[in-house]
Amino acid sequence: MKKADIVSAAVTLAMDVDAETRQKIEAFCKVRGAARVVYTIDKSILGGIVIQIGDDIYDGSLLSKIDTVRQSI
Amino acid sequence: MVNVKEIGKDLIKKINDVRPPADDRACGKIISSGDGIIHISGLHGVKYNELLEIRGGYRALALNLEHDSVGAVLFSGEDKVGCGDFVYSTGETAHMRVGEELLGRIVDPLGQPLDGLAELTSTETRPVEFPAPAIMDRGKVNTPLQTGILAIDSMIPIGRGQRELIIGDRQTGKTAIAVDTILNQKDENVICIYVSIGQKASSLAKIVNTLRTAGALEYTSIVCSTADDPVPMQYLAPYSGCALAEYFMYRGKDVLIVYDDLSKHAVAYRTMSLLLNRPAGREAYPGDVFYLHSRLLERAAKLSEEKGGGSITAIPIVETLAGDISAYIPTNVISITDGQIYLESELFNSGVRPAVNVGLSVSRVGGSAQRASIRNISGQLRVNLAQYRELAIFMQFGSDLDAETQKMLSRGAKMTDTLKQRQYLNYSVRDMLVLLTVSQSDLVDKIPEKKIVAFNEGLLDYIRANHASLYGEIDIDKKLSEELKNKILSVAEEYINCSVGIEQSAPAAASGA
Amino acid sequence: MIKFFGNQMLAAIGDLVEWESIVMHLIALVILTVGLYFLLFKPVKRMIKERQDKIRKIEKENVDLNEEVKKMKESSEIVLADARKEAAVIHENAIKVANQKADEIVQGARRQAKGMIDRTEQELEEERRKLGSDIEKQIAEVSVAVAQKVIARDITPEDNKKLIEESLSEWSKN
Repeated sequence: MKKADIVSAAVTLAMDVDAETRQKIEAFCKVRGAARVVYTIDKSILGGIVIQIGDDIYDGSLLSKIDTVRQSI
Repeated sequence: MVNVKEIGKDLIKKINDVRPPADDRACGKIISSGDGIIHISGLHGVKYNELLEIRGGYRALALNLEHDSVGAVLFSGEDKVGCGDFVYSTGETAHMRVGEELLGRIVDPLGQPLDGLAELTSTETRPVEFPAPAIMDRGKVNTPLQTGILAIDSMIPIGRGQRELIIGDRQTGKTAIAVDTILNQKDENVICIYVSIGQKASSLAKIVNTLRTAGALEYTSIVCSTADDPVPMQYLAPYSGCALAEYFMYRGKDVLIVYDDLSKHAVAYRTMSLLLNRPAGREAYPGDVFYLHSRLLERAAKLSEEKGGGSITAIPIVETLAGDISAYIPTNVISITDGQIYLESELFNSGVRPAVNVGLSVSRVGGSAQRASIRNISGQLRVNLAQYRELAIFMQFGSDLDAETQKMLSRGAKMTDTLKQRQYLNYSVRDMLVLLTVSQSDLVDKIPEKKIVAFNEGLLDYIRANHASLYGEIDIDKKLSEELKNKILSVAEEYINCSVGIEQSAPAAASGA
Repeated sequence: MIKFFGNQMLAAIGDLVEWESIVMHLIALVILTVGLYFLLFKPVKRMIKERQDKIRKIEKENVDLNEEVKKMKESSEIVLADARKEAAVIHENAIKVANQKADEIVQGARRQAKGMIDRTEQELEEERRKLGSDIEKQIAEVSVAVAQKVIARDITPEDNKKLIEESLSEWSKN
């Protein structure tokens, strides 16, 4: 899949964020080739952010961080 | 007892050591999972044979890179991973833990200990798949690898760095030969690696026990995948074993690696391939099953002196069905290796053990590595045996035999008996020289036919106890001198006189002369 | 009377026997004796001598034989002694071999026993370590679960914002 095909980025958040952060997120997604950003709120990721653009997944959630800690101890 | 304070300290230390996760690792999602195979969407940057990590700490190996998905086989967590789980690429291929501390241990194909002993602390690893040594890095096979089995060392000699196949039906003593060979490497400065591929856990336990009681585990490492291990583990086992062997080889050591057995490895690979929807070929094996074994066995080599002079001697084992060596896997492996030891169930059942079929067994490079003393004395052996066998078949028609023919037949039978050898009874080179000298002299006519095996064992004990100096005189790297030969014969005669008895041997001697 | 008869007798004998014939007889007797001696006595004597020789020879042979028997007796004794010695040597050898084997077996058994003890000790040690790590793992699980709950409750929008911005800047670097 090429980057040109990608139109939307799926962003998952634990809670709503202010406009300034949203702007930053959208700017980031644009750089990665997404024209549109779709937000979802998912409490289970605890905190942080997960961005999926096409097949690329950027996982910056607290859940995954805790998972790594759990795995390494 | 368990130190509770230690636990707390350990935990805190570990938490402090946690490295921050790399957030931008390439990541994909599982879209289907079943039979130990997962299909992943995403993961565009993944490479062939790359190790994947699934959330939850499970591992998989990427094998099919397709247009819109990646097919991978699971090493663990077959029933734990599900659709939608994130899969991360690790950027590295599967690695095997290596190091001196693996000697005496039983590990799985990824280097995790399985023997319930101390944890392995070595952090050094080697990629499981590694290119074979280049042509210029290779040296000539010139050092013998003593198996301790008379029939093999005299007629099918194996050199260090050679690949010698052991092939035969089930229950013909294939593994026994391999185990005997490992046992014989004591004090030979050879590191042994036994790779079990899809073996029964019970038979593996027996082998481990044998090695342990004989003290052979000190220089042996066992890479183990039993029949109930996930198929990818079975597939990986020989490559992991080879990676461990390479670690020692590139350190200038001599390594012996036994793959037991490659037909099960091919079956494991076939399972994976069919589940991954690769096209099936002859006997439903995938098209690259030849390459599967050739790239493994090609890694066995003798390195040149500049590269340290280490070697890997590979002894793959292949099981045939009903003696059919023209099946797909046997022909493949035969053509890859530098010779084969062919075991026959007929011979095995008629009491010839090891059941080596001397006619069909060959060693293509070992001859130049054979010790001069043995080569000199066993040169005639193969021809004599072939002649005897021909004569024996001819004489089955039961015509009258003249004295000369009868003598030849009895000598042939005695020769065959001399080549019989109990399991776990290994002969040293000097033992072999004595046995070969005596069995090819006129002295054998004095020994009754049924007593050869007992005589041989007794003779060696007798020499060890009473003529220990004789062994000191034998130089195993030189041709036996006439004088020494006569000395051996006189000692043997002495033993004949006191074991077989003069009354019995006298008439025989008279007729023999 | 007696004288008369004596004279008469002498006269009669004198008539009867003439001195010449007596001499002739004597001569004949001598010739006969000599002839017979040569013809008969010599062969007999020779025969007797031969006989004697033979007997002497037999006697000598007997002596020789006796000596030989004696010698053989002696030699057989030597052989017997040798055989005894040889038997002793063989016996000794056999004992040596047996002893060696016994030593090997004992050594093997000892090594095996030592190996078993060592191994059991190792296993015990490992078992202990495993127990420790099991407990550790349990504690870790619990603490992580607690941490998760606490974080879920306590996380503030500010923390969240900081986290997001950190992640974004980290990703933007590459």
